Amino acid sequence: MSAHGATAHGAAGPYQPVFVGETRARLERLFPSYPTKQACLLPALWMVQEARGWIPEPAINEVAEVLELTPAYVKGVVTFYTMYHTHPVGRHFIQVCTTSPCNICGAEDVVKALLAATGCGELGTTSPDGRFTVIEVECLGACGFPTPILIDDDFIENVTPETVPGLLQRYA
Amino acid sequence: MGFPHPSHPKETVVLSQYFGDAAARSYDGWVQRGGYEALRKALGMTREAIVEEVKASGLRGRGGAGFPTGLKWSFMPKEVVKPHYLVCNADESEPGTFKDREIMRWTPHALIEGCAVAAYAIGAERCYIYIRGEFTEPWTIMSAAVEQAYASGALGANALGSGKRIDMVLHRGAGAYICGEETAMMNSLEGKRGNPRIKPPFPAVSGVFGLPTTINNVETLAAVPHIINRGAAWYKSLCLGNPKSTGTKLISICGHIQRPGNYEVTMGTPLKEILYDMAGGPKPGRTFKAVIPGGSSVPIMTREEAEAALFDYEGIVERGSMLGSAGMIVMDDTTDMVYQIWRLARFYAHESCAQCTQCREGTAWTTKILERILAGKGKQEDFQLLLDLSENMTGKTICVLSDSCAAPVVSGIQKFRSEFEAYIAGAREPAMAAV
Repeated sequence: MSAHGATAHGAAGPYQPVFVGETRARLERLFPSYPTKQACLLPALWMVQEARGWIPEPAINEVAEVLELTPAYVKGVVTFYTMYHTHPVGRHFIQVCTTSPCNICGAEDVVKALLAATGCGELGTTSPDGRFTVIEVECLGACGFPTPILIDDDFIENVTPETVPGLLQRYA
Repeated sequence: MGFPHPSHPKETVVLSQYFGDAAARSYDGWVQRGGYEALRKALGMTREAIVEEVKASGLRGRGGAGFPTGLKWSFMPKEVVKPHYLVCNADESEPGTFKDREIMRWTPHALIEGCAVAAYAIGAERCYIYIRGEFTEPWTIMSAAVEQAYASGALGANALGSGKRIDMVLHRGAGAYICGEETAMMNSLEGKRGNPRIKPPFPAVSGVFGLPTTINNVETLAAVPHIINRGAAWYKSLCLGNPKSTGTKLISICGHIQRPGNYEVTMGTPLKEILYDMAGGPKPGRTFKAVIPGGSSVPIMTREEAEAALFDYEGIVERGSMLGSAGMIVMDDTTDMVYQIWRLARFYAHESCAQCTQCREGTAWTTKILERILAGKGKQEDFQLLLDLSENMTGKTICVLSDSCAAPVVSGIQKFRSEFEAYIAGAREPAMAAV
């Protein structure tokens, strides 16, 4: 998702389909693994997000057509799952666990440090330079290593307010 | 072993033997460590014999429910007239629990082998491993391992040269705690919203894609090859407490504790030994206040209750809680219990699929009342209101998510009432601004 910043998605112009060439072939290779095409919906949505950084409305229509579903149905599924972005996000998407086990070990201070260091200011917004978006997530399943965060696909454990600035340097 | 710490002498290391050993991740590395011998042996047995062996071992579901695994397998139709499926629940999302993650990260082939044995035993034409979307590293490692297992002939049309077909597909979740509930997982796998289904029909009759299905947790399946290799009698002998709880259990310990991590113990080990000897006890100058022993969905135990308990399914129930997933959240005397119970309620409110009214409304309302109390605006009536709400959220919905929200609220009020009183009476500084 890192190659696709917030501004790139806002650009007007004709919709460029996701499921062409190799991406189409990748999706079709999944079909024999399931008795229905519908079962490929979550994988197909992941492919869209990988290609575009989020799930734009026209992509919902495209997925619906490719999997022989209705756009309304696909949208219902997209909005159920928290990891699919229904709007553009920063070049780097940061998810911080603040559920109880991390909470009692100082996760809220990690959130504050991330909001300050990224320039996002508040949760869910993208920094003015388009570089970061920070959100709180519920339990990341690494409770023994508080505070775990996900930056894009990088799972990072034992984050503290002190280690935040150094961590972010790797993400341009 | 207490990964990331060295093994403690009081642990019984079976599943976690190779945690931290990166060489065990590859197919060859796994075979060198005795891997795939159980699958070879199982493929030479009848399906019924495998189910009987697992039944006799006493293995119970490690995801939280503790249902006897062999019995669950025996519910599948004996004759395979239409496709059967195995689903491995790798959607580990229960707050406090991080054991399945380590199994997948360090010993991916242990899980693949367990899945392969189970798939054969229940006559499944395919095993789906549903991995939560946030587990990026386990996903990468499992993907490589499945590929290697196919390339090496352990999986595929002629598994280990047996002439039997075993297929495995990894499926990635997309962020939804509720998909760890087995019927929600089946819907999610079918490309639907992850709403739980009403049972019956049970999955063995009509599961994923409407076909006979068995769903097992990662840790459960990873234990199966050991039972096949060493026998049911050996597994059953791993028992220090109630004979209904056998084998070893991985415990994830987190929160206010010296050495957080995963520990593997024989069922029936005194909880006090786990907390103090293995995990090192409280941080210097602190004392324990509360323990949530089985992931956030079980009642909170006081320090006294926890320290008196034996760690097995029955032992924890005897002391007022449940073993659940054995994700243990430890809280010391610095913890604001009202704040943490609110944080748990907020978790459930966020994760409710919103299908059932009691859960959709109840989790949100509970959260708001707790916010009011934390803001110094609570009333005496709020105690009864919270308890009434919790009662209406327990045993009345399609799945147990709303019960899980009620558990910490009810046990929290019972056991830590004075902390609520302090906020209500204004004796304690508000922890948040009034909404």
